[in-house]
Amino acid sequence: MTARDTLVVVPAYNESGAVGDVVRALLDAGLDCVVVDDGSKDNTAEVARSAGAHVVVLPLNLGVGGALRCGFRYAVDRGYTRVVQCDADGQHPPSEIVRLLEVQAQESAHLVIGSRFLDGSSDYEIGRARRLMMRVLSGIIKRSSGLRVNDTTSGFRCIAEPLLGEFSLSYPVHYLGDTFEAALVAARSGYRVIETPIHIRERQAGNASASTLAAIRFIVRAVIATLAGLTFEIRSLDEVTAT
Amino acid sequence: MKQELVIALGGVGLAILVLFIARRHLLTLRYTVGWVVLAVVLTLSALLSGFVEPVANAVGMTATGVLLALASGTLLLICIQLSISVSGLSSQLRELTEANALLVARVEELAIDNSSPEELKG
Repeated sequence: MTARDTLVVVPAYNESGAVGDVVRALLDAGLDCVVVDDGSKDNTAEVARSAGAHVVVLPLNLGVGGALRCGFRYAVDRGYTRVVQCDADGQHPPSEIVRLLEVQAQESAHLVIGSRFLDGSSDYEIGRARRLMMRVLSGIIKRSSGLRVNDTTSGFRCIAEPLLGEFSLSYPVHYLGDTFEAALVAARSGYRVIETPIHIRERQAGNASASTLAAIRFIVRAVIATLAGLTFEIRSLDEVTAT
Repeated sequence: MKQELVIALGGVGLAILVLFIARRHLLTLRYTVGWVVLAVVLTLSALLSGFVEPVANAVGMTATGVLLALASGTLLLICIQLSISVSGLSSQLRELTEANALLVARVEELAIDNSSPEELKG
């Protein structure tokens, strides 16, 4: 696989302060990128377009999951076989994207999760409560799919076909659906999911998308959804390869 | 008897309110019918509470209590049905929003591809 097979999908909501630099860095690294403007109220789309990105503008704010699925559909329609999710706030440097792609190719993985907490990753600090909750989520994934994931909420991921095609058809829109639930469903459906250490930077601009209280609320919801079997569904790897 | 009268008047009031809202095109026929049927059933049940009495005695409640329990149960069912409708609409809205955005992006790409060099210069 080459960088030409790969599209970097950048979901962006009110990120006009950082998205221009992110796009320029991606293009300088020789990566194709599409910015999915998730119903921003500022001029995110114009800034991204001026920087040279392809831009898809959602007329309504769908949330990260909605913007990502739209980006996945854009990629599949144009024949890309891999995508990398990349934040629009400048946290994910292009050098790490290239590393993520190398790991995907070496391991023939369908989903590579960039982890902020594995040995060899950057010293990313989170609060005790959030760390505890992430342990809970890791435990749930481990119990229900056998997959060991430390960074269950990492939004820095590489997704390759045929999982990409499945995610372009069905991908949750709610908070943690695009991270925790997607990894869980992929692993449970027989796709190869691995985790690799990454280095991330401080946000260049903009604000985090969820407060701690909101995170707790959505984590509780995610736990209930998982335990009650309410997660989204995709075709298993066996079903996809059989067709 | 006073309680039954209040419930019957409430049913009539509900029917009038629903029809008023529907005539202003704020409520579709599908939901108008559901609410009007509920109002009519509530009114008739209150006026014919004598028929409810045996049921009320059997379950150890007053006739008014049975009527209000029935009304609450019906409202609960309507709420669940509305939640299902809203969930479906959210999903459809998401599909439409994404499809529209991708279509606009495609049209913009085609417009750029079809632009003549002169147009691009100008």
